[in-house]
Amino acid sequence: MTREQFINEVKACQEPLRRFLTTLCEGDTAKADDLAQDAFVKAYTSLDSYGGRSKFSTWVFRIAYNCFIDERRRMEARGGRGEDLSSPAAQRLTSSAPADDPSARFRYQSLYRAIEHLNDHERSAIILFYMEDLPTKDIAEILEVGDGTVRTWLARGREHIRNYLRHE
Amino acid sequence: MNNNDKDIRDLFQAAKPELSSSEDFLEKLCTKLDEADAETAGRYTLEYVLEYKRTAERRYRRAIAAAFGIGLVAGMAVILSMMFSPAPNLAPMLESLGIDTEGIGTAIASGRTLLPQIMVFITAAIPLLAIAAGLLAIRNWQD
Repeated sequence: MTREQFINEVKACQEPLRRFLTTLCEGDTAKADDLAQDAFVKAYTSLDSYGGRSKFSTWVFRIAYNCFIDERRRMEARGGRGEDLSSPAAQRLTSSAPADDPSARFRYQSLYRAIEHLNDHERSAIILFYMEDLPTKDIAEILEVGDGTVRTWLARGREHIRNYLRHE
Repeated sequence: MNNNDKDIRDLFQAAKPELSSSEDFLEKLCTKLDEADAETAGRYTLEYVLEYKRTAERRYRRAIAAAFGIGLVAGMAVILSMMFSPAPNLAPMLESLGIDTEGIGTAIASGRTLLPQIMVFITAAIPLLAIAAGLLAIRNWQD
């Protein structure tokens, strides 16, 4: 794959990827963009290992997810996850969500709070499935687990979100 | 997909976070890709230089080992041939030069005195010194 082809592929998938990372990073767009940049550079420098067996976007999403997990581990090793659940992460996310209606903003805030309660796997599966409309097969490839595991995480995550929204 | 599931999906679709400019993102990414390209090129150059150095060192070690082996065999051969060859009769040469060989000349002629022995070793040392000089020359050439 030439650099030009690579850039074209990046243009096609950068928005969903950045959105995925922004939601994973609880609305920290700067951090999400840094992770996305890292993921694309890693993909570019290891293009030789991309055999074309999976879609380019799936491959890059997997790299980005691993970058996110590595970053999360680094932060944990430094002493803490960064922000706890009472953080303004949900507010940060809703402030970047496209809503003119204040009640919609409140609804999104509840949704993002619900997402914050999920673990990384469930959160990733839920975001990829509901926000990016990816099939479970692709999600399984990105998260490097089986299709059944993704379905379990989705069911568990969905249940948590429903319960949270019901009690809000 | 049931209604409840559709509700969640609709909520997620509506709550998509807004992103910063894609152009800025791609511009920054292109700069990083340039840096990655430069780094890769630098790494290849470094690897090439290191490989060249490793090859030269291997060649140098082989040359040293070969020169050492040849020198050892040649040196031994020279020494042995000198030791088993008859001592040179220097009396005629000394007499032609007008040197009185009455005392030591007789001894030299018999080949059993110290001088011929010393001369044998001096003659053997000359090729050995030449071999040592050759080794040093090879070493300097490799550096």
